[in-house]
Amino acid sequence: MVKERSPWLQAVLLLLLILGAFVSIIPFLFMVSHSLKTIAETITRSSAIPFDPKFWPRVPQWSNYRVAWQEARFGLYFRNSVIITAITVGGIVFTSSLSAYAFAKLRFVGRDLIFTILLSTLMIPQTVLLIPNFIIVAKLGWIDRLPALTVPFLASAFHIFLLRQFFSQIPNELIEVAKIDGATHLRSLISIVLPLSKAPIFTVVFLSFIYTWNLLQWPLVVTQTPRWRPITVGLSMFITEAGPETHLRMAGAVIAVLPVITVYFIAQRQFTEAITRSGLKE
Amino acid sequence: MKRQILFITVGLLLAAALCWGSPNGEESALQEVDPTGVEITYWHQFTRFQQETLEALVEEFNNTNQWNIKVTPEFGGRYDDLYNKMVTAIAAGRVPDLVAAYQNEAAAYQASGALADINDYIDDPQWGLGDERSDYFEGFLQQDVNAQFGGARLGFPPNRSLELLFYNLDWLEQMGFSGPPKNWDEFYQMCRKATNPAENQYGYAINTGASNVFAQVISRGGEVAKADGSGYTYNTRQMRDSMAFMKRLYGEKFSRKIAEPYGEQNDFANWKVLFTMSSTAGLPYYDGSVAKGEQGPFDWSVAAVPHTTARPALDIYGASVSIPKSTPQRQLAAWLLVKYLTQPGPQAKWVEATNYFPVRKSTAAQLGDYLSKNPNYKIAYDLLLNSDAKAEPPFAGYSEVRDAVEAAFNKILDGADIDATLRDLDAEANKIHREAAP
Repeated sequence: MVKERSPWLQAVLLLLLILGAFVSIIPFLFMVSHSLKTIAETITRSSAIPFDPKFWPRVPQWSNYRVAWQEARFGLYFRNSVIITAITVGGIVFTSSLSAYAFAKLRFVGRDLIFTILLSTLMIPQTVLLIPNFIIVAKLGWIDRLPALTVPFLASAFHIFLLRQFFSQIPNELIEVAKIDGATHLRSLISIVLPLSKAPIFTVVFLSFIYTWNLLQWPLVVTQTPRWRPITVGLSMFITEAGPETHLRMAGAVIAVLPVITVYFIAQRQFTEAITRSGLKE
Repeated sequence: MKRQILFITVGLLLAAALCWGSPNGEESALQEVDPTGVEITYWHQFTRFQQETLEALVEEFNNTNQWNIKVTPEFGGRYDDLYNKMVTAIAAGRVPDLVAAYQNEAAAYQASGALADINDYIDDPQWGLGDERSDYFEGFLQQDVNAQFGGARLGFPPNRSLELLFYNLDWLEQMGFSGPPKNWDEFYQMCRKATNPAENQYGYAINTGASNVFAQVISRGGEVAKADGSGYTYNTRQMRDSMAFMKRLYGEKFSRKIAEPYGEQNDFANWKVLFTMSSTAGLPYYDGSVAKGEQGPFDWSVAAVPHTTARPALDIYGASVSIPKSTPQRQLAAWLLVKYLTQPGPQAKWVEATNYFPVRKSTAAQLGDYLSKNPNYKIAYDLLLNSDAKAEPPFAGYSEVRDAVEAAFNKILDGADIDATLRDLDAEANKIHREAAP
């Protein structure tokens, strides 16, 4: 029997959560409010508290978005980011679900050993992988081309692990019954496992989307021209050497972060459910 | 740490890289090298209007050079990103023909033998600087000569900046002072008088960066590194005096740390802080901030960092351009672009677009009314002519040392013992130096 918490304790917890949520959202509000200020207001009307009128612009400067969009070639970079992210996320879902199914539902020699080796790759710092990956991409002639930005990220040990944990929870009996009815493993994956795993699939989509969307170092290393550079490169244009242009930088940041927020709202319910069921903690 | 991992990885992969590698071995005599028709790439760090100006200058070079050399300028990211890109490129043997690099970054590249010695070009009778050499600021040129590599010249300066004191003249005069402080005692008195907690006003916005520490140390006649390139000297009297002074100023609440990047510019514009120390590259940003400040425009200017030396000793900095090893033709083509970009005409255009200092004295004559329209730039430029310009250590590993210096400075401000902290800093800096040495 679950013991009920006292109303007072619940109220305190709720208050703490509200406070935490409020503190968490301040940087986001700061970004939005400063993206709408004039440059003068970013100098004279600045406050860290949303209740302070100085936190907000007197008259919203929507033109900041237009200027940021034009000055940093956001049109091109945005298109590139969408293409790169769509290919990468699609690829990750494809490879991860196949691999995870194999690790969760198939029995073969060395399965656990291979899975352990796969997990151990998570411990290799990305920085160390930069040079070998670059050499491979260069040898393949992919520098400054779309495959350099997508292919190296089409498989992910973390997402295989994540899906495998979920797939393992699906009763083997379901697969066995399907097998009796003549279903292949691929059919079982498509018709049984994936429909039961919407939440983890959304989680994989969401996490891989954020990761790919925010990549900066790798795209800069493997590109030489703006042709396939993502939106993060456009955002870096507003980091100046000797002074702030806060209004434009924040407008650029809002533009760059909007798709992430949109995807989060779409996948929010499934994402939360997946995190709860997997026992993963951020 | 990330840089160290990357650096070690480069070392491990160097042998592999040589398989595809950039051509090495002895170069043919420059006199026999013909750069005609060569196409090269230039990785730079400039964005927006600076990028546009650079691209226009390169276009001008492409259209006018007699050898029909074609240069493609490419934005390689900001400094850290460009460094990572370059380290990766060295390992893979896919280097550009020209790359922007701070002196310590160039040293890191040269630890893999990746760069050409620009002395070979400067001194060449056919392609070198010849009589024009005396027109270059010698202090600027010397910054790229690296004792760690037997005096090899690993870069060439396209521009430079100075670390200076920015002051609010109206505020000083209101307090009864006629001008900026000449020494640290005057600086202290002015900070004390300016501080008014009720109005949230204070004397100085402390910049805890390594460049600022260097500026303070040289202003007291000290150095932070040995001239022969054998190591760092962070446990000196001048360093201790600098830290003790700042700790006192901070402890007595006459100064504050800078809370956010460039936040001190806003505080300066809003009369919240009397002094800041910053790069001359920030002059236009200060101009813009002051013009839009809460109390409207006011008289402000720049001066030498307070000093105990006879002449001001000023920290001069800026990224150079390095020429990675490739073929004699490509290297020569890269050098010819560098030479072109430092001609007085292109330099004047570059100055007007960026507010950096030119590297040649004769550029001033080409600046037209730029100096009269930008009086604070003129003051800074005159300071450059009448000071001892000193450069920060150009050693491999200095980036990590800079992080250690900043951390030590913050620890001291937060109460740590100065002697013990500097002893540790000195040991750590020299350990990094040994590990990063070629």
